[in-house]
Amino acid sequence: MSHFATALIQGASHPVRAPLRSRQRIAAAAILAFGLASCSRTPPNPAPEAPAAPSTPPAVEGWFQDATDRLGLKFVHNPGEGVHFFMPGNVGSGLALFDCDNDGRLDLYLIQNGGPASGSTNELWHQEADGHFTNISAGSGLDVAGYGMGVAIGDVNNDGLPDVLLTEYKTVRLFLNLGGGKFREVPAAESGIDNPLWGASAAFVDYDRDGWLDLAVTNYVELDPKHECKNLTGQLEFCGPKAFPGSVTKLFHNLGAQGKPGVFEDVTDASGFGAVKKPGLAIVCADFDGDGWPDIFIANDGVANCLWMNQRNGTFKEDAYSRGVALNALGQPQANMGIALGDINGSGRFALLVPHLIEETSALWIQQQPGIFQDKSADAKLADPLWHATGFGAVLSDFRNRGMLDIAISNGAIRRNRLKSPDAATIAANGPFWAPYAERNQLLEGDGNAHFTDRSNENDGFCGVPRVARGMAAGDFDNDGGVDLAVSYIGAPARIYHNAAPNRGHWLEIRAIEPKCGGRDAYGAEITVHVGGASWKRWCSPAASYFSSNDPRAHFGLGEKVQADTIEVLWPNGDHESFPGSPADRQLTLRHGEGKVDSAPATH
Amino acid sequence: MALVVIVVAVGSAAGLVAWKRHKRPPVVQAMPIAIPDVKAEGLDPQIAAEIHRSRLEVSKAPMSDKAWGTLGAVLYVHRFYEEALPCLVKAENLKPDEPRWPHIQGLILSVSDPENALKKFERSADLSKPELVSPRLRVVEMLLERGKLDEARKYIDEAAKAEPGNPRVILAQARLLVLKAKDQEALPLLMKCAEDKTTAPNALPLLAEVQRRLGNTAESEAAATKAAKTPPDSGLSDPYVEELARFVAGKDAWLRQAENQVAAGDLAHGVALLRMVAELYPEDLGVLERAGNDEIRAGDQITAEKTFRQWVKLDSHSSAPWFNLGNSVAVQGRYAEAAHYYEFALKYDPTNLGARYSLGEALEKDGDFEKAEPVLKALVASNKDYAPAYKELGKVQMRLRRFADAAESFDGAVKLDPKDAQLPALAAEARQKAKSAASN
Repeated sequence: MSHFATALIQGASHPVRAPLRSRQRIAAAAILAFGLASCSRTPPNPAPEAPAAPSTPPAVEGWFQDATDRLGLKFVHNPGEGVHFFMPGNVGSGLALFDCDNDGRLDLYLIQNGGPASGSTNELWHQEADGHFTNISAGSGLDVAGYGMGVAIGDVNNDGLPDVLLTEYKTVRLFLNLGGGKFREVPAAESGIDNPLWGASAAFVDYDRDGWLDLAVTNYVELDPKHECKNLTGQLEFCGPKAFPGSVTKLFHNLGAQGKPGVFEDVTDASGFGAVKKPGLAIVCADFDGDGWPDIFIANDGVANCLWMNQRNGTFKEDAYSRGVALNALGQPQANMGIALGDINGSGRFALLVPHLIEETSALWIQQQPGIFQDKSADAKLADPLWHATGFGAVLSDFRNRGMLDIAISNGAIRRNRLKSPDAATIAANGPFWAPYAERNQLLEGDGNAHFTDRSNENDGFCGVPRVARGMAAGDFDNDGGVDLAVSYIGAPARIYHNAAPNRGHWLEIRAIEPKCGGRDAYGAEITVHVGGASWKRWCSPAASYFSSNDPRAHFGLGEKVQADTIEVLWPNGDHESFPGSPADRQLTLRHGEGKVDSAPATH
Repeated sequence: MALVVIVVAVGSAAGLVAWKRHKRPPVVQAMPIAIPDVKAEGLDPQIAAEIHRSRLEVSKAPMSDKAWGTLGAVLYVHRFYEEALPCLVKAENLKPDEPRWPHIQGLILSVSDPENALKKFERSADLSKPELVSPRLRVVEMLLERGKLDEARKYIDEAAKAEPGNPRVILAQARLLVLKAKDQEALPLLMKCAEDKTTAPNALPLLAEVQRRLGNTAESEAAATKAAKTPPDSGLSDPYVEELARFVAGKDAWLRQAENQVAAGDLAHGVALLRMVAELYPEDLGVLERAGNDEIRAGDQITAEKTFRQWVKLDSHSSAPWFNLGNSVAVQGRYAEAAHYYEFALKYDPTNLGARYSLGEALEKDGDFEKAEPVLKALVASNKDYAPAYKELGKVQMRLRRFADAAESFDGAVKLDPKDAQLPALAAEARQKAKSAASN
C-alpha cells in the first residue's frame, strides 16, 4: 500500500471517520511529514501569501478527500493584476498531470498568472515513491513566469519523453523534455510555434496521421488592456468576451516526417482555421464522425462553438451548427468554458459536457447518430442541479468504478455575487478580493444511461468549500485504480482530491503506446474493453477540461467484473488491433502492433 | 439638479399612473421592515438624490406598494441588489397581484439564484395581462432549458392565443417540438422563423440541426451557413425592463444614453441630454468635451462655444480645451480669433498636430498667408505622410504666388492621397502658373 493510501485512514476500507482527536493527530503528522519532505528542496521564488484555510473540517467528505496538505503540495496561484480587473487574472490558469520522468507516477505542473515580472513562476511537483510531492521547479526549466493560462502535454519529437506546451497571454512556449525532470525552452524561431495572441487551451493531435504530434492552440480575445469595463454605477468590473474581438485558433504542423522532429509549420490559414475568429477557451480532439481521422472541437465563450471536421487532406471544415454542437438546445449561444468527453450511456459513442455561467445550464451534447449531436442536458437532469454555479473544469470519469461515468465540475464565478456577501470562512479561503467570486464545486453521479444525480451535498471533500476554481485535471495519482482530481484555484492554493469512494468496483487502467514513435502515448487511440456481454469505450485524449491536461491513461470501471475478455484498440493511424483480456485491478500497457499486454498490479 | 428631480419625478409618476391594475389587491398585513439605505460616500450625487427621493416616498407612504416597488427599482437599476430585493418583496406583499414586483425580483435573482428567479418570473407571467406575450416567453425559455415541457406548453399556449403570428411565439412552439423529438413537425415552423429577422438567429441553428437529423444534409449546411452569418439575437423585448429606464440616474448612465441616441441618429435628444448633464456636472471636463463636440455635430455652434469656454475656464493650461474652443469659433467664421486659440493649444502641447493644421488653415482663411506658410511648412516637416497639410500649404503658396512651390506641395499631396480628385487639377494649375510666371 502506498503512503498515499496508508495515510488515508478513512479510505475505501475504512469508511468510518476517525474521532476528532485522532484526526487532529493525523493532521499534525501530515504537517510534520510535509515539513520534512519540503526541507530538501525549496521553491525558487517565494509564493504569494496563501489565504488561510478554513478551520472547520468538512462534514461529509464523500468520494474525495482533500489530500493537498498531507501530500505536501504547496502551490498558491498568483492572479497578478487580476485584483485590478486585468482580464487574464479572471480567466485563471490550468494544470497538467503527467509523468515527467517516466517513473510510473503522475507528477503535477501548475501554472501561475502573476505576469512576467511577478517572480511567481510555474511549479513542477514531482511525486515521490511514497506518494508525497516535492517541488522540483528550480532548475527544471519549467519554472517560468508569465500570464500563464493553459498547458498541453505531448511528445513532439518521439523520444518517449512528454514535452510541455504552455499558453500565456500574448504567447505560447514549448519546453522539450530532456529527461530526469529537466526541460529546455525552445525559442519560437527554432520551434516554428509563434503565437503572439492570448493563448488559452492547447492540444497535441496527429491530425494528418503521419506519426508526429501536431499542435492546436485556441486563442481567446484581442484584449485591449487599456479598455476598462464598468458597471452602471461606474465601478470597475472584469470585462467579458464581448468587449473585444475574438481570436483565431492556430494549427501547427509537426515537420517530423520531413526529418525535422519538433519543428512546426504554421498551417492556420492553409488548414481553414484562419477563417474564423472567436473567443476560444477549451479544446478537445477526437474522431467525431467515425472516419478514423481526428477532428477538433473548440468551446467558445459566449458565441457558437466550432467543430473542425478533418477533411483528410490537411484541411478542416467548420461544421458545428450542422452537427448540433454549436449552441444549446434552444439555439442560443452560451458561455462555453471547459470540455469533458466520454461515453455516458454505453453506446460506444462519446458525449460532450460543457459547463457554463450560473444563469445558464451545463450542456450535454449526446451523439445519437454517429457524428450528429443534440443537447440533452435537461433530459440528463443537468438543468436542475442542487445549486447553480459558473463551471470551468469538467471531467467525465467513473469515480466509483461502477462502469458508469460521473461528472465533476470545478466552479468559480466571473462576477461578484449580487446578493450575498461572503462569510468569514470563504474570505479566509480565498482572500477578500476573490471571496465574492467563490462557489462550491459539484459532483454528479451517472446511471450509465445518460442521467445524472447531483451528489454535491454528500461530497464535502470536493464540494464543501467555496473557492474560485478554474483548471481541473483527472488522473490516478497513486495507481490504486481510483481516479483522483486536482484543481487550480484563483489566488488560493491548488488542491489534490484523493479518490476515497467507499466500495469502489474493479477496474483497469490502460496506457496505449506507439513503439514506432519512441514509445509515446497514442493520442487519439480508442480503446474498448469487452467483459461478458458488456463493453466500455474510452478515448486517449488528455487535453480537455479547462486549460488542463489529464492523465493520458484510459480508465475503466468494471463494477463486479473481475476479468476482461478482450481489449480492442483503434489506433490513431486507423489500425484495429485486438489484445487478450486481463484480470481486473491492473495497470496495462498496450503496444501498437505488438499484440501483447504488459501488466502491473495496483500499488494500492 | 432640480431639473433632474423634476424630469424623474414627472416621468416616474406618469409611468406609475400608466400601470394598469386589472385586479383589486387583497388586504395584506405586511411586516414592518427598515427602509434600506446605501452609502452615499463616493456615489454619484444624482444617484444618491434619486435614492433619497425614493426613500422619502416610502417613509411618507409605508403601505404603498408603488413607493416600495419604486425604491426597489431605483436600487436595482443602480446595482444595489441586496438592498433592492427586500423592497420588492415588501411591494409584492403589499400588492400581490402586481406583476412588476416579482418580475424585477426575477431579474435580480437571475444571475445568482436562477431557480428562484424562475419562480418569480412565473408569478409575474401569471399576473400579467393576457395580451402581454414577453413575460410568458421569458418563462418559456427558462422552462424549456430545464426540460419542463408541460409547464412551458401552458405559457406557449397563452402567448399563442394572444399573438398567434408572433415569430417569437412560433419559435417557442418549434423549440417545444424539437425537445419532444418531433423534428418533422418542427421543421415548417423553424423555416418560417428563419425568415424573420428577430427569430432567425436562434431558428437557423436549430433548423440546421433538424435538417441534418432528418437526413437533409444540403439544407442543413445552407441553414448553418446562414446561421454563421446572422448577428446574434437582440433579445426579447420586455416592457417591464423598458419601464425601468426612467429610474436610471447618474452621469455615466446618462452619457451612455446620450451616446446611444447620437449613434442612433437622434442627435437632438442626445445633445439635449448632454446639456442637462453638463449643467448638472458643471466641473466635469469629460462631460464638457463630449457635450461641446456633439453640439458642434448638431450645428449648435454658439452653445458649443459656450461649453468650451467653460472648459477653458476650468482647465486653461491644457491644449484640448483651447483647440476645441478654436474649432467652435472657426466654424462660425471667426478665423483670426480661432487662430489665437489654436496658438494657445500649441503652447500647451506643441505636438498637437490637429491644432497646428487648424492654425494654418485658420490663418489661410483669414488671409494671413505669410503667417500661415511657416506653420504649415513645420507641419509638413514633422508629418511627411499627412496629405491635407501638403494641400493646405499648396493653397497658401498659390495665394502667395509661389506657384512652383505650390506645385511641389500639391504633387506631394497627390502621392499621399491619389484618391483626392481635386489635387491633380490644383497641381496642374500651379505648374501652369509657375510656367507663365517664369516666361514673363
